[in-house]
Amino acid sequence: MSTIEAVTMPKWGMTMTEGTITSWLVTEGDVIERGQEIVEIETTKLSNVVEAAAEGILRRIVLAEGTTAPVGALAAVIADESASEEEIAAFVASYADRQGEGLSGQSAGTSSRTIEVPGGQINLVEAGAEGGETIILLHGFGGDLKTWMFNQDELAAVGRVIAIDLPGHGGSSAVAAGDPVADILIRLEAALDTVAPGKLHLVGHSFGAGVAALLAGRRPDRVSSLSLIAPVGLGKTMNRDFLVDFVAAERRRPLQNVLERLFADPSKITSDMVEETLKSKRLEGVPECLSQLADAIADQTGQRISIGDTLTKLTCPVLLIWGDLDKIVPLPQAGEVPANARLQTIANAGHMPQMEAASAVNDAIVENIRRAK
Amino acid sequence: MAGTQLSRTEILEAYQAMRTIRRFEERIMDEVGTGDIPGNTHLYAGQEASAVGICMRLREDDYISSTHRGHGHCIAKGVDIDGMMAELFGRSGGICGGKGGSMHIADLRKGMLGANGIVAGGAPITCGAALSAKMRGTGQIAVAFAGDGAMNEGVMAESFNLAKIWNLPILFVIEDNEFGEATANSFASAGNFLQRAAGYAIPGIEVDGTDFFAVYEAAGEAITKVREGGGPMMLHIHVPRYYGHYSGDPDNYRTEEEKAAMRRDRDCLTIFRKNLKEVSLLEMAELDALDAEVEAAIDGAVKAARSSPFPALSALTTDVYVKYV
Amino acid sequence: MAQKSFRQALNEALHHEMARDPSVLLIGEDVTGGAGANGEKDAWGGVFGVSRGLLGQFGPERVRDTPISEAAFIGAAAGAALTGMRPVAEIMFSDFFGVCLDQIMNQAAKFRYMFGGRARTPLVIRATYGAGSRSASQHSQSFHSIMTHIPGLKVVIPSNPYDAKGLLLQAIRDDDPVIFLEHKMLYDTVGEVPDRAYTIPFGEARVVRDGKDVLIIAIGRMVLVAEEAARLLVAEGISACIIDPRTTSPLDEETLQEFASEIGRVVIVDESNPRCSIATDISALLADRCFDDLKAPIKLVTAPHAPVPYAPNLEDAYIPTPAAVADAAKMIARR
Repeated sequence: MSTIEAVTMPKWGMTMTEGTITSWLVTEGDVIERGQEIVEIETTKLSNVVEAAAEGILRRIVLAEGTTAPVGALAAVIADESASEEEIAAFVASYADRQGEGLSGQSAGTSSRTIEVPGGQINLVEAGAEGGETIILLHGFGGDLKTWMFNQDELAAVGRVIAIDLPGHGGSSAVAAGDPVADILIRLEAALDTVAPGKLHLVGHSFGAGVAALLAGRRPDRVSSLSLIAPVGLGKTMNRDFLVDFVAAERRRPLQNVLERLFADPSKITSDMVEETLKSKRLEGVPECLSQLADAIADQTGQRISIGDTLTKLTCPVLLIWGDLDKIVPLPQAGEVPANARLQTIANAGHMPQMEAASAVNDAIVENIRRAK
Repeated sequence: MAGTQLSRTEILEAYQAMRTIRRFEERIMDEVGTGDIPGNTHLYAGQEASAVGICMRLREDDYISSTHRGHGHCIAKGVDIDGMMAELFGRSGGICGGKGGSMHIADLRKGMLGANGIVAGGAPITCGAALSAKMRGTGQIAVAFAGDGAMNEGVMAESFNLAKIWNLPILFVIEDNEFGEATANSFASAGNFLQRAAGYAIPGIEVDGTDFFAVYEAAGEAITKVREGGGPMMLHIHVPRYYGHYSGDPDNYRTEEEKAAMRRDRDCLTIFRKNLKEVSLLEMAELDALDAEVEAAIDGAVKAARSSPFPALSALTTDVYVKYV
Repeated sequence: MAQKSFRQALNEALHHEMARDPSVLLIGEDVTGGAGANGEKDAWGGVFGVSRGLLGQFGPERVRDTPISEAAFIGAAAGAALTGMRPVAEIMFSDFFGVCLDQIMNQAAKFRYMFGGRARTPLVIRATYGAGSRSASQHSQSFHSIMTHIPGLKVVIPSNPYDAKGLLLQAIRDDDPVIFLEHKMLYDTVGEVPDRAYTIPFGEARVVRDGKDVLIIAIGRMVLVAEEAARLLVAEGISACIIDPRTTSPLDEETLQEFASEIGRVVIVDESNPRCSIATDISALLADRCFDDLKAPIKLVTAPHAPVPYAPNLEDAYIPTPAAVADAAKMIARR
């Protein structure tokens, strides 16, 4: 039986509704490997490459270069040799109907809302079908839920995914003065109890990963798996200048210089990313919050949060994902990785592999989630 | 002079202020000849009783604005004459750092919102100061000095209207020296100033501006009413303008006879002395002593001005904004 | 985050700042509407509805309708700014700058300088501008170029609701006189605008769209024209970068220079008339600073040297179009 796979217009972030094919990197007839970059797509906000999710032969290019199409539209077809031309043609023709059925996760059912928690509001974006366990995505310091723009929709194929703006970030209200980390944990717990009462798969990035670990430590009964991307709290050292400079940068150029340190390939930082970050930073109260939080994460002597002990006590699968070129939170030393945690290194990625190597990170997370079941 | 009780101190204060203005302006005319006063200036000599009679009725925090002929108002409001002279010399010690000059001389610390190079330009600004005072509830009032020439600028009429409909604590003082530059007011103005104000339901008082006591009395009446929240008022004060429109004006559109008569018959300092003599309030010797003090002060101002350096070249582009980038 | 209109974004900024700072007042013709009449109060809320609701919240002392008397009330705003208030004065159509230019140009703009640094004039003058509403010659002009020319003024031209709110908040908090220009055809455009307050610094351009083949610098409403042009250019295989300066005084010269040098081909689109405009200004600046990196002449797409006409087909031809911008880009893209 031949397998026919669709290559579709991806959904990068909540607001993307359509994209334009700027350039095909392969031609009809080429042999495709899984993970190979096959097409460059541009939206109003950014341009990025799509990697093949399947292997086979590129049998048909449906959307030509220069075409704009909505999210979820069929762009190309990959199949093995055994698929006949009639089958390919039928697949293409019937694709519109399939879209109507609502392929799980793809462009269906993302919604944004704000919920009340003690102390303020939490903003979040939900995707995927309800029921069962929920995947929770927690971004890092100075970021917001848009960090997961290349991940949330993909992960929604395996279940319900909620990306959350941490207190003091994005659309969530400010943290109280005093102990920002404690405040964040309390509010997040309350949020999770409200929106995802069942079992949770926590996925966190950087500071958000530290938070995820601490949450798992508080509620081990609730957490089925923990996937931590470049977490704070394992080693002693981190690049504190990054935090300081991030807080200080109020204009595009200086902030771009700071953000470029996050990626192995600085050219991946788009103007839109910089502007979105500036938008968050400009909100009243945010600079003060971030400054406080930065001090809570690290001081001149090093990292102030510690999650190593918390992780060793967990029984759920714990996965650490790290870019090998991370300049912000360096790869931990051997002794710093708890025995029950697996470390997966992503080659040629910096501190944000969930953006720079989205496919690999998505696959790793899905695999970790499946281990829990 | 009837009905106005000034103390001895106040009388001496009034005379000193008027004399300072007179000598300041005359001294500038002398210094212009040296070439040390750049550009042109517009002299207030002859009009002293108006500025002094009104400003003596004001609080230090009341606002005034002036015209291109602003030295007298500045001095009457208490602006430092050393700083003023240095400003006219274009020096860094000037009250505006040498960057404004005669027509833009100002001291906001004394409520002096500036002389103005645009005729009638100060009128709406003064309305704004009055509005600010009213909204802040401080009891401050604002006085807009303007000339007969300004009465024909559209913005003057706009200011009357705005002041009245908003019931602003503002006094418009029209110092009518009968000339708008080189053109007689009788040639340029239709109707009558008090009637124009009355057209906006603004009460006005006409005053002989050579008689300090008359000005002082009328000013007291008007300022009291304005401060009580009675809305805008106008004083139409007749004054002589001793010099030409500006320091280089040959003033040949007035005859020698009328200019001589003006100085002889309409000198507020002479009239002041005469009024005092009639009631034996003061010895003339006391006033002569003040004359000497004033002379010394003016000498001092000129000396200070001359020794103040020109502004640094960097001052060319400073203070265009509070903060640009 | 909510979708809000440009109008609503401005209204929010005014609400926020008037609540926060009691020295802020709003004055202008019909900023409430109905004053002294027998029917409804706040009947207009501004000719384009920007100030609706403020009267109810802050009262008639702080939200004041003026007579049709620009010279007086703009001058009064300047005087109030000089003496401790933060006035926001509205000129209904920027074409009316003519009747009050002295108070802006000779007075407010120059107080601080003339008075040796001792004056502070935290004044905002909001004014609508721009063609497209069939209002003809005297209600459709763009004067940001003339205002930019005057030292002592800052000139702000938002192109979208998010920028409108942040820039207006910044303008009111700024201690210098700011001319804040609102294109009348943008009031109904919508975009994501946070509920909370935020400010956008002046002299900080926004990169609207990344691109590598041609740089399009666009002012105010022309940013939308540029975005449409960029879409047309995609079909031609030309990738356009778009930059919105947001403020023409101060101007983010560094960003413009950086991108012009990197890309080497520049189109400037501006609704001003072509002589002595912000377009010619930026063009001269880039020609000087980026000469060795430019690969083609700088192209300007502007209105013609003519008043704004009444007939709809003529007015549509007056305003720079996406096709005209795309043509200019194509002319230099492959040199």
